[in-house]
Amino acid sequence: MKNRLRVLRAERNWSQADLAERLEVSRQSVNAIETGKYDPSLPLAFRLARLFETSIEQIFADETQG
Amino acid sequence: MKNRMHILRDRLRNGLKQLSTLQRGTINRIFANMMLMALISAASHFRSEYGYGAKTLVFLFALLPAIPMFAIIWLLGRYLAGESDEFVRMMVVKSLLWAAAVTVAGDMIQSALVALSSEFWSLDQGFLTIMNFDLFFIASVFSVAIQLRRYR
Repeated sequence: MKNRLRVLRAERNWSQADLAERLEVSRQSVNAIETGKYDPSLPLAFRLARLFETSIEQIFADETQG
Repeated sequence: MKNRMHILRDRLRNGLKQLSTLQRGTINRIFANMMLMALISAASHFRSEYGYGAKTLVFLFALLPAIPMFAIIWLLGRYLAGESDEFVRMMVVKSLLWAAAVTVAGDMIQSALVALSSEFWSLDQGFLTIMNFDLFFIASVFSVAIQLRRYR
């Protein structure tokens, strides 16, 4: 699944560690989500959306949909 | 060589510092249970070395290793239930599955070696149990380390 996490993070000048601290997850989790190696659960996706004050669809894009 | 040892030691220290209270507590408790298993194994070995004694004692020594073993499984379950980071939880589950596979494979190789040369591999059952559990624990730690390296 594609995502705009890196862009959103860069806009706020946050490091992966900063984002991880705000989400209360490990930095490895942020890295895995950002690189598309791991798709977060719905609760974590909602937490991300709330943190960036946007919707889940604005962060994640389903690659199977054209 | 000395420099490499320093780097390894620093990495290990940093890694341990990054662990959460739950992770550190779980590792300490698992280690304590493994020590207990080693003690039981040693006691069982000396018991068989100096005569078998009463049947009750034989039965007791056969059952004793099950206590720390169940404790470790319970500790792992408790850790997985308490871990709030879903990604780390997934990594630990993956690692435990890999460790189980490595342990089963190791056990099969060991059984084949025992069957091939029972004179050379005259190890008692208690020692084989602790060896399997050591293999399981070492394989789990290695698997977590490899995965952490992949996502660093």
